[in-house]
Order: sequence, then structure tokens, then C-alpha cells
Amino acid sequence: MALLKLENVSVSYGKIKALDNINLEIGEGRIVTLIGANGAGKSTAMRTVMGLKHCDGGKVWFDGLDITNKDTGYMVKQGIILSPEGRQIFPGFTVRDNLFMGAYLKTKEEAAETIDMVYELFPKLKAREKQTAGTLSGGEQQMLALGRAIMGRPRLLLLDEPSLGLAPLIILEIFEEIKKINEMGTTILLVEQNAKVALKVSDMAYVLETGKVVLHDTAQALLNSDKVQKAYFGGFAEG
Amino acid sequence: MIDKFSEFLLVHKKLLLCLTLALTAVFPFVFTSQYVIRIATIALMYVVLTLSLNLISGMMGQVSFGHSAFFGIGAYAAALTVTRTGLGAEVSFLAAILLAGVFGALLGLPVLRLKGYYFTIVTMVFCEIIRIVELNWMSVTRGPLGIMAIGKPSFFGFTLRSQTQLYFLAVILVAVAYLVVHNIMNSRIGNAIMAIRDDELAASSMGINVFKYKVMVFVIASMLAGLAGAFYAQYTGYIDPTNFSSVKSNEMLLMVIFGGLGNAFGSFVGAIVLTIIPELLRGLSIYRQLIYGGLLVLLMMVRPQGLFGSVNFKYLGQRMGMGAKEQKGGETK
Repeated sequence: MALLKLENVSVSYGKIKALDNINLEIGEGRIVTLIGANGAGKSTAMRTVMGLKHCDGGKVWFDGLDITNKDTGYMVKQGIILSPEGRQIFPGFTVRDNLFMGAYLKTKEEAAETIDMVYELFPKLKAREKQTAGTLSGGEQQMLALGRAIMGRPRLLLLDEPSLGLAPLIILEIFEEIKKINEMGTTILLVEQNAKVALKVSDMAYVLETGKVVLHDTAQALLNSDKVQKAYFGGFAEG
Repeated sequence: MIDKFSEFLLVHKKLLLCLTLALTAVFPFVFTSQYVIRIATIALMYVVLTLSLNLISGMMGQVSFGHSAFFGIGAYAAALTVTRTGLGAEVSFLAAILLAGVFGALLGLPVLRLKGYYFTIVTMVFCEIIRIVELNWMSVTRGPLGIMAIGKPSFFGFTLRSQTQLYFLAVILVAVAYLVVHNIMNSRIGNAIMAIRDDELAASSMGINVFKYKVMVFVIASMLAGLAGAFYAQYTGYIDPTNFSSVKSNEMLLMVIFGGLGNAFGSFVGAIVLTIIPELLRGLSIYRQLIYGGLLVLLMMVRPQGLFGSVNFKYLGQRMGMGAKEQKGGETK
């Protein structure tokens, strides 16, 4: 059974329809990517799952539970965690406190347990534990954002543009980590402009265009599809 | 220089704290001039206002130009309680805190959904509305005539008459305000609030109820301003709407920024220094405002984040603690 299921979901900002009757399924333990141009509705889809944006129609199911339009705190408790676009870390907090904020709804003991796991995954964060997050490099900040998301012990991790503004080598490193997180048993929904890199690590992908799903298939099939290659890979994404 | 000074403060924290407390205790007995004690008392009252405004503007990162509205609401609530009902100061203080809190909630609930400039403008307007109400609601506030002959604060029948007694009441209020602010800043709620300031979207994706925490902090800060207002009314014995104009709000904000946004220690420094400087410059008569303004411009050029704005004592302590541990480790080897 699918872990997350969007059923005919529609979302609008005022009169503009950002999502139009979207159907989407994510199997447990999978990595699923949403690709599409700017304004296609990728981020909106994530915000809707997270309860940050309410939908006008349709249903969102998580593990057989109707979570449509519940508040964000409820989603977090269910194990849905969002790592927002643009590495939204807390620059004034130390790395360690940033991580603990990720476990805000967990007990101290649970947080202390998880933080060791995060440090194992990202040894660089351990080394910079007491530095304020604003002083980290871009790649380190993205690692911190990932680590902070893991602190919430996600069953479903929503990653919004984890490669944004990073150098190609760092992007590969980040995607390696994403794969590791997935192998540890976390289901991942990925939104990514850098479609080629994202498809390489994904199982399934959905292509969005102006709020509609226009194509969905296995990631491998989409990687080989002429149409997707022309529309989303361009010449510069030789990664 | 400030960093070195902050480290010095932390290292000798206990000693300096004891020294400050001792100084505070003997101050009115050493400086017996009524004028000096009066300035000290007013400075302490501003510490309460600055600490509470620092919760909103420093911790929550929402610049408020409306803090003197709550100061005024508290002052009028206390003044009316004392003059109309004749009840004691304990009731008047409670009334002031509660009424300021209610208004804090009334303003906060709709307005804290706004961000940045929009929030600032609404607080500015709110301050003006409250002042105009105070100015025109003749039957209650007596408008521009103000409320006169407010008795000195009398707690459970014991009246504080002398400047020294009132000074110590101000000291107690500062202690209360500091404990409230300090505990909020170092709690889970404080972490949540500062996370919201740093990044609201990220904070809400951690499951933090952003709006709830914002309203909570705003109401608490308003209540503390109300407390200061109640003190002010009974300390001076006379209030009128000009005491609570937006000029006062600006002064408070200036103190917060001067001391450093988000730093409680800075609030003490800001309030005390900026209360004393204009008094020291009094002898320069007409040039006073000019020099005062010049000093502020100088500070903004040299240290735009305020004196202690970039200092985080908690993290500084952690870093220094870490350094000490490493040193110890080296010694044992």
C-alpha cells in the first residue's frame, strides 16, 4: 500500500490554480521525484502534504489515515517532515541547537539518541557542533538542513530543492546522503530542478506542468525519454 | 572590544552580579540627592520597558513602535483604580497588568499574522489610536488635563512615600521583569520564538505553532509594559496622554537597539545609559538634543547591531567552557 497518496487534490492561491486534480502515490521505502518548470506546482504539492497550505478539493492519505488539511504539528507527529527550499536553517543557532530544533516535538532522550545517528551520517556537523549555523558553507548548511529534518525521525521526508545554489560536486555528495537516508528506511519525496541527478537516485517520478501531472513513470524510463530530456535536462546539467 | 568585554563579564559573572546587587542596594544611601535617586528610579522603570520590548523586537524580530501604548494603558488602569476605587497598589498593579495583557491579545491576535513593515506600521497606528482615546475620552481619562493626585503606591496598607522606598519598588519590578524575560529566553518557548525569527517557514515545518507562540510572547511583553505603566502613574502622581505618545515608543525602541536586539543584558545597558546621558547633557541646554542625536548616529555607524547585539552569552559560555575543557585535557596528558 502506498505510504502517501494524493487523490484529486486541488490547491489555489486566490484565483490561480496551483494544483489541479493531482493524483500521486508514494510507496513505502521509495524515493519519488517531482520534476517540472518553475510554477508547475511542485513546492505547493509539498506544502499541501505538510499542511502549510490547505487544499480546496481532494484527499491526502498517509499510511491509510486521512490527513487532509490537518495542521503542521499533526503532520510532524505522524512522521512527515519537510526540509524547506533554500536551506532554511536558523543562522543564529549553533549547529547542535539547530538539530535539536528538528526534534522539537520529541522528548529529550529521543533527540539525544537521534543526534548521534545524524552525527554518524554527517561527521562534518559533529566537528562544527558549536559553531553558529550562519557561519557554515552552503554545502554544510544543506547537510545541516538534512540532519535537522532527520532529527524529527521522519517516515516520509519531503525535500524541497536540496541542490539549490550548490556546486556540482557538493550536489553529488548531498544526493549520496539522500540515498543513505533512504536506505535507512525513510521514504522520500523529492522536488528538484536538477532533474537528471534526482532521477538517478529515484524509483519513480512525476512530471508536473502548470498544476497537472502530465507524465509519471519509473525514474529510469523518464531518464531515457526523449521528451523529458528535451524539456528538463537542457545542455548544462551534464552531471 | 565588546567581545573581550563580554568574555570578561562571563568569566567574572558571579562576582560582578554580587557587586551589582550590592551597589544597587547601597546606591540610595550613598547618593542621597533626591534628583539622583529619581533618575535611577526612572532608569529602572525603563529597564522593565526595554526588557519587555526586547522580547518582541529582539527575540521575535518584530519591530514594534507601539510599546508605549501598553505602558499608557497600564498607567491609566492603575491611576483609575487608585483614584476611583481607593483600592491598594496591589490591585492597581494587577488591573494594569491584566488590562495591558487584554489589549496585547486584542492587538496581537489580528496583527501578528502580519510580518515586517506591516506589523510595524500597525503598532505605530495602535499607539496613536490609544493616545487619541486617552486624549478624548473626557469622562474617564479627563483628556489633556490628565489624572492628578494619584496617591503613592500603598501595598496592603503600607504606603511607600520616600524616594528610597520607591527606588526599591522599582528594583523589585526589574527583578520580576528580568526573571520573566530570562526564563522565556532560555526555555523551549524561547528557542521556538527565536527559530521563528530566524526562519518562520522552517520553524513551522518543525511542528512549532508559530502563531500561538507569537501571541503568547506579545501578550507577556504587553503585560510587563503595563506593569511599568502602573509604577509610573503612582510614582509621578500625575499622568496625561503626552507621556504615552509614539515619541516614548521610539525612545524605548532606541534603548533596545542601543543595547542590542535579543540581548537581555543589553537592555539594562541601553535603558540605563540612554536615561542618564540626556540628564548629563542637561547643562548644555540648547545643544543637548544635538549632541544626543550625534552620539546615536556615531553608535549606529560604529556598531549598527547595538552594543551587545551580536553577543550570545549562552553560546559564548559554551565556547569558553569548551576551551577550558581542552586545556584541562592537555594538562593531564
